Order: sequence, then C-alpha cells, then structure tokens
Amino acid sequence: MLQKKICMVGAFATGKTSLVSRFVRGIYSDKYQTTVGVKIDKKTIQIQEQMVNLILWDIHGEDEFQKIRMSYVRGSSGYILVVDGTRSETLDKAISLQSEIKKEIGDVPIIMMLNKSDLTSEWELDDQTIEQLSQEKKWTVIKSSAKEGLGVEKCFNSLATQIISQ
Amino acid sequence: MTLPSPLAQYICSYVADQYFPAYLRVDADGTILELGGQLQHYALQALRSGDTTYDSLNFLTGIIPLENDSIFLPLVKDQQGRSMDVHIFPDQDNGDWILLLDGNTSEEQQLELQQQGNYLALQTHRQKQHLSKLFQNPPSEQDTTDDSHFSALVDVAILNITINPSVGTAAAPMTVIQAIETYFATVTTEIVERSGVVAAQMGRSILAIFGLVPIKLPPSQQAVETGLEILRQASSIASSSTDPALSELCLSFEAGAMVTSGASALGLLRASPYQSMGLISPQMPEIIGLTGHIRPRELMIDAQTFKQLPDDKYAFTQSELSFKDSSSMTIYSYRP
Ligand SMILES: Nc1nc2c(ncn2[C@@H]2O[C@H](COP(=O)(O)OP(=O)(O)OP(=O)(O)O)[C@@H](O)[C@H]2O)c(=O)[nH]1
Ligand SMILES: [Mg+2]
Repeated sequence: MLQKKICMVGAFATGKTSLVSRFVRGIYSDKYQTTVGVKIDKKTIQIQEQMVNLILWDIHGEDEFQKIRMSYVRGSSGYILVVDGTRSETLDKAISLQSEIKKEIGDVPIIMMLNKSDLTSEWELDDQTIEQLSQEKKWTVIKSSAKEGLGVEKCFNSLATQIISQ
Repeated sequence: MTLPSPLAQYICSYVADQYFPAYLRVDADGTILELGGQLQHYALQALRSGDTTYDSLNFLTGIIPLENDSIFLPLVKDQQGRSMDVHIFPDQDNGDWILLLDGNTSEEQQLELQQQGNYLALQTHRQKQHLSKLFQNPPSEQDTTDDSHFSALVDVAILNITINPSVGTAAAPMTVIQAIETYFATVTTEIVERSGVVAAQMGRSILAIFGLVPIKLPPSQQAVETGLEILRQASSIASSSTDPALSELCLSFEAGAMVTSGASALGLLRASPYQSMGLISPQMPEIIGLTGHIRPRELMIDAQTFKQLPDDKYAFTQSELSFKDSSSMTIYSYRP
C-alpha cells in the first residue's frame, strides 16, 4: 500500500495537534497541551480506489525560543501550514516557514488551513488578503475548525489527492 | 577524536544505562539487515532481520534510504506514546543505521517550560485583543493629528493579596525581600493563569485586575475564585522555592486577600508616536487603603462583589469595618 509522509507546521497553539486528533480519532479538547518534538500518527484513507497510509507528523509549533528543525520535514510528500485565524501573526509565521521548508525539500503540495473558524468574533484575517495570498502563492487555502470538525477531512483529502496525482 | 579506552567504555555504559540504545540497519526498501540493543524499550522486540520497518517504524517513510548526509530527529513520539531521539546515518557499504535513544527525560523537562511560555504568550495576546476591541471606535480625523485619548468603561474586580511577614523573624531584611519576591512570583503565575493582570506590587501586597482579559465568569467571581485558590494553596506556593531557607521564610508568611468590584474607566492616552494605557478606578485607592485591614488566611470582599456572586456558592459572613474617622464599611469575609 502507498504510504506518504505529511507534516503539520505552523506557529504554536494554532491547532495542529487538535486537527490531527479530530482527523484521526474524531475527538477534540479545549485544553491546551503543547507538543514537544514531534508526534507521529497514522490514518488510512481512500483516494480514487486507492488506499493510502498517511503518516502524519505533528511537529511542535514555532515560538520565540524554538525554531523548527528542518530535519523533521525531510521526506515529506506534502505539508499543511496551520494558521490561527484569531492571531494574524501566525499567518506571517506560516509564510516564513514555508519558504524555509521549500529550501529544504523543494516544491511539494501545500495546503494552508485557517483554523479556529468557529471563533468569528475574534477573527483577525480579512478575506481579501487571503484571496490574494492564495492566488499569488497558488496554495489551496481552507478554513477549518478542529472544534466543530469543519473543513478537516476536506483538507487532508485534498492534500492526499494532490500528492497521489503528482 | 580517539578516547582512551576506559573513557570510551565509560561513555558506552553511561549511554546504555541512561538512554536504552537500540539499533537497526535497514536496506533501501526498509528491510531490516541487522538489529540489536534494548529493542524492548521501544516495544520492537518482536522484530527480526528480514522484517520490514514499513509498519513498526513507519516514521522512516520518505526518509530512508538517506540521500547523503545523516539525520537527527529529536523527540519523536510514536503512536504508543514513547519519546525517542532518532539518529540515522549511512553505512559505508550497505543500507542505513538507525540508532534509537530514550527521550522521555528530556521531553518532560522541555514540556513544562514550553507549556508555560506558550500559555503566557496566548494570554497576553488575548488581553491585547480584548483591549483593542474596547477602543475600537476609530478616532476621528482631527483627533489623530492632536494628542488625544479614548476611554472605555469596563467592569473590573481588583484582588489584593497581602502577606504578613512574621515580625519575629531573625532573617536579614534583604532575605525577607527576596522571599517576598519568590512568593509573589508564584502568586503572579497563578493570577495570570486565571486571566488576571498584575497591576502593581507594593511592599507586601500585590494587586491584580480581573476583567481586562475575557473570561467566562464575571470578573468579581473570577477574582474571588483566584483569591480563594491562592489562600488554599498558600503552603504549596511557599514551598515552591528551591532554596530551603527562602522556602521556610515563605512558609511563615500568612496571606490574606480582598476583592472589590465596580466600573472603572480604562483610558488610552495617545501622544503620537507613543501610547499608554491606564486604568482610572475609584476602587484602586480604596483597595490600597484597605490593605491594613486584610487579615491572614481570610478573604474579604466588598458589598458590590458580594452582590455579584452566585447565591449559595460561598459561605461569607457579613461584618462592619470601622475606620479611625468613625466611618464604616460593610464587608463579607470567608476563611477557606
Ligand atoms: N475555538 C477553537 N479552538 C481551537 C481549535 N483548534 C484548536 N483549538 C485550541 O487551541 C489550543 C491549541 O491547540 P493545539 O492543537 O494544542 O495547538 P498546536 O498547534 O498543536 O500547539 P503546539 O503543539 O504548542 O504548537 C487548544 O486550547 C485547543 O483547544 C478550533 O478549531 N477552535
Ligand atoms: Mg501540538
């Protein structure tokens, strides 16, 4: 069976672990438990008649004190840039991380997730900026909520499809 | 570097004791060529040469065969929840070596720091966001050119935690001050974790404002809960110092608390390019003035705070505080 490595990257507390946990186990918790290092998970999905094992690398978030080691992303078939829509600085972080990762592993499929879409009153990103960004960078951008389970399946499936059809 | 053999041996047995090393050599398609070491520590004891790493070490997907240089992957946690440091480097002749070392200890050490740091950063962000919303009314054109200020009325509760360093202490004044600092550092963490903002630390008192960071409970109740928690935990707070002398001194401190509630004006002063924020609150001078009345191990609240608490949750008793000028004030007190 095909087996592909996918990384979750982004600033701290954007919801990387919550998204994986929602996707793999269907559960969510409001309690914040930060990830140290990287947590590996696996989920088998079907893409056009084909079963694929996704090996998910839930990498610790980048903060002021800790950069992400680029060795973690080696061998990824694609990755997800996770942004917290209620903290606009996490978008800048995602963009700078992407250019670093590109230097390490070149061009592979990318999806940007604007997470925490349930928190509309605290939302800090405006649609126009996002639209512009997605056109300029040619990334698929998907709004998601790990809390309510919105956009999560769609995102992983769409990334896997892009990977398979490469 | 060549080490004298006793040293090399020592390092070897040290690593074996502390880090449970296990190793595998695998070929380009992930078939195990040889393996050994403390595999059972990683639940890999069932693996044999000839087996594949496809399932058991699925995190190697995409990484092996190595392209050229070696790779270090610190603190990889597998589906079973074990943390390991993974080192991968090419064999001179055939395949790649994978060395696994235990990562549980360093994970634990890092976790606490990272959790606290990130949590604080998130709280600070929420606070900023909340405040900027309070000042959202965009300034009119003519205002922006001038120095100007905005203000908003917010419901806040102020918590005063006061400690009584025992007078009989033989410790030098500097040591007492140091102990107070240590004690308040822990109290501050408790306050921030409960979405309070530390406004001031004056001598033996610390003042915290609730209601500037969005919270589920009303500010007065949040302040009361925080105050009670700090009083309840007084002894564990006191013993948090790693210096036993400081710890002992902290233990002799007896904390008391007071909460007052009401509307305060939050002001933003803009004198471009600077801006500063201030809370103009009639309660501030009041609660500072009441510091002398705060009794050890007791939480006192004013009538306004009492009114805002749920009816049967706390067992406060009512009493009067009388002042030198023969005025008085109704307060409610409780000993957890
Ligand atoms: N409202 C809301 N909260 C979310 C959502 N996703 C995650 N959170 C919360 O955000 C916080 C951080 O979530 P995590 O999944 O731990 O974030 P992370 O990116 O893995 O964090 P690090 O491992 O520290 O980098 C937690 O308190 C989650 O409950 C969401 O979709 N909506
Ligand atoms: Mg995480």
